[in-house]
Amino acid sequence: MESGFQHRFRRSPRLSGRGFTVVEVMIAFLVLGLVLLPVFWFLTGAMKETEQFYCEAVAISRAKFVMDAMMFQIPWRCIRAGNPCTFDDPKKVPAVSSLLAAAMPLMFEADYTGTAPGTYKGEGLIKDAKGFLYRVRVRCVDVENLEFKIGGKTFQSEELTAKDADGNFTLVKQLVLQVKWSPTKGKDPLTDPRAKSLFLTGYKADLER
Amino acid sequence: MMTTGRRGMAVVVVLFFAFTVGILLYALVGSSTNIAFQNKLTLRQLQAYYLAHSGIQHIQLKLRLLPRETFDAFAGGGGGNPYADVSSDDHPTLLVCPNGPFDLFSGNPPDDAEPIRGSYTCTTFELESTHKRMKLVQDGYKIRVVAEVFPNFPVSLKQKVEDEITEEIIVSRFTGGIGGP
Repeated sequence: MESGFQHRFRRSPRLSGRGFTVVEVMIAFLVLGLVLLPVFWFLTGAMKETEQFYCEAVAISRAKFVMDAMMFQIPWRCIRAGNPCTFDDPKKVPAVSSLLAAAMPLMFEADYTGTAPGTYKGEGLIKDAKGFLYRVRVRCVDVENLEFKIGGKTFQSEELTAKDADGNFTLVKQLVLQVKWSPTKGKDPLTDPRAKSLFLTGYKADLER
Repeated sequence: MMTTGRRGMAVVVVLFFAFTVGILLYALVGSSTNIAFQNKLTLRQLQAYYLAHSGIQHIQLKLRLLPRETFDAFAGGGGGNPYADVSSDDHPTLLVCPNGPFDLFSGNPPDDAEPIRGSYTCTTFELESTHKRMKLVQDGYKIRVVAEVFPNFPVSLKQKVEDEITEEIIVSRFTGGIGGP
């Protein structure tokens, strides 16, 4: 006759052999490690990619802001041809000069000051909240020899407008914007061979004269 | 007998676990690829938007410069679109087409080179109304501009992104002054 204690703690034949050997446990860990390794590898890569997407989104947002300002806010006469273009008001209207003075730091943040007071370069250096650096540059080209056809007739720019502040019969300007950024925090994109770029282009017509 | 029956369970558990991790990885890769695609699409749509507005400004310019001639084109009974020449592809100086590597920061790319391939075209230009009773004679026009961007040019014209703007413009026939609808 077994005592109650012996009966309670005796190994049941049904449970014998249910445990794992050390080898099985090691193999299980090996499998687990092999499966989780690419997951961790991917998660690390995903974090880096997230930062890249963030930079790209910041660059797109900045490009849109600058392009909107040039296409719809800044007077046509104030955007002067060049790479980078220059911003100044040939008519020296105080309200327009104030507009330029207020818009430039918002568009380009730093390094946009021109050679003369009241003039600005169409480029800048921007630092985002995470410390990534972006270079912005705008090229402006005066579109020459633009023709207008209507009713069987062709009109040249010279027939339709007076010379502008630069002495040209320009009616349309082409704007090309480039934003360049480095995927490395704090690194100037101009010195980084891995720097990325995006572009926007548009035409601004003289609707002011 | 029970032990023998449970031996296969380990394989099933491992396979199930691996399958779950695989699904997780697939979802993560998919999500990441989607963000990259959305950023690219946003930029292309923005480009199409600015080209469409370029076309609108081109039309406004022509209308300001030639308001009477524009009305005469309709008054003469001429059908079609008198502003069909408002198209970036019809003017060599307005053509938006890449011409080799483009970087504004290294050197100065040629004036006729652009970083992307795109275009704008005035597809509709209709005389909607004429107001003669007022002191100023005004004409109302309905315009439509379509812009296209080809991100894979010159390899392919597929995956193009389009934008279109339809507007109504009222212009003074003799001064070229433009107002809204």
